[in-house]
Amino acid sequence: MAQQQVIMDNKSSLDKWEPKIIAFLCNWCSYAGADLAGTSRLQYPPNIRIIRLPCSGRVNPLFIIKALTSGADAVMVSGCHPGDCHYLAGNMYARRRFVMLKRLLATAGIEPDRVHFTWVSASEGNRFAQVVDEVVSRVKKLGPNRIAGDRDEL
Amino acid sequence: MSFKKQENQMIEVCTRLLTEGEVDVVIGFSSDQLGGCAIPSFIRKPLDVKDLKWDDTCTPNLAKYVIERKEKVAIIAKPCDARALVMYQIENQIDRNHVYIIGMECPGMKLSDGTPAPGCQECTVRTPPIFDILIEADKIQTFEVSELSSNRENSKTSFVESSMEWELEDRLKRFQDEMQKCILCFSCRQACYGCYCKTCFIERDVPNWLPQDLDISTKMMFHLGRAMHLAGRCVECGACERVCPSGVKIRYLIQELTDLCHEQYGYRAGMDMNETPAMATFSLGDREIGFLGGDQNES
Repeated sequence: MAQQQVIMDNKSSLDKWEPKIIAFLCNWCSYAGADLAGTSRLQYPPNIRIIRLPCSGRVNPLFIIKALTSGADAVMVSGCHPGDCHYLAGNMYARRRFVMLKRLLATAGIEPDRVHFTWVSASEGNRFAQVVDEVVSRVKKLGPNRIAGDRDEL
Repeated sequence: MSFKKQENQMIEVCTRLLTEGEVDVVIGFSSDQLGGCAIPSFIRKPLDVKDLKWDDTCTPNLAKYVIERKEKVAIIAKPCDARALVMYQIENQIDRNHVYIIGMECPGMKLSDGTPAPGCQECTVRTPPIFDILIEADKIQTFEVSELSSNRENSKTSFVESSMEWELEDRLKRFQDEMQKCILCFSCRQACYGCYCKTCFIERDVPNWLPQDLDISTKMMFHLGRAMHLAGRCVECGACERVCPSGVKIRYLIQELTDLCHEQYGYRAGMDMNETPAMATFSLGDREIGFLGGDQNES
């Protein structure tokens, strides 16, 4: 209901609406994967803003909540595959944290598709492009972020 | 009644501890002079021990008063207080040798209007998991206990288990309704055993996590951020809801995480001193619920 309302209100601007997606990528795998996607000339939607972090374990859940409350339409986090972490186990701790955060946001009524977690290694340029495709198409279905109200800081 | 019996035993123990100089201060409950709820009280002289009381209004969680206390302390600990003390021990906040824990078996506390205090109705821990001396409740109370806890189980099934089945809109509405009431006084944080950071994230300037306005996204930032910090650490004492001046029922968020933590990682905060908290460890087979390309059976 409320979502439709928002969509109705923004109908004129909705045609040109493009989601803003914050992507937290780990330096060692996913960032290199994104780089590979770029150097391989793979096409993927330009909706993501990448923030490079040393490790997916560095992703403070507050980063994600803050991004959503400040107007990001979605957040995506990607790190090394479990077992391949540059710091041995950073992504293993992160994994538990993300499971918790995902459930917390769902309980608070935030669409599950606003937050995505995945693993992309440095050699998976193709997979990175696919993941971004998938995330963007899911977020486009959801419509604009309705948590942040009128805020548009990004 | 049984409370009186426990109270007498408790006073006996406290007098002994203070006269023999085993502890410098006893942290317990005393009357607020108005006949309402018990208030926290610090007793230093054996003569004052008679001021201590133990009845069904002893709701405050006393564990937080033990942190950073240099002297030797005895604390009257309900099961939830004791669980908080276990967590403090795990998180290196107290020196166990300086804290004497007087464990009280607890049938659940009541608010001044006679209704069960938040968290007490659905509580399943009636005996403190850690104590130096245990003051048991007698049989009459165990009957009341089972009655209360069965109530609690009913409320639990109707509440937490169903909460994921609600429509997204209902969940959003519930959350926003609660947020609407919040006045950002941060009482919940002050009362929470787990919020002992010297500088809370909401008080940081750089980065400025919490904007200075009172809109819903600010409140979300605070409550979701706090809930994440308590993931797998909540001891279910209900202090956050009890102290809230606007009656925000925010505990369901953290309760959801507590249950998820128990279900996924088999961990309950404050039950065992030798267990590593769930969020401070991992196992290779952890499920990736809701990840892209991971377990999708739950959104």
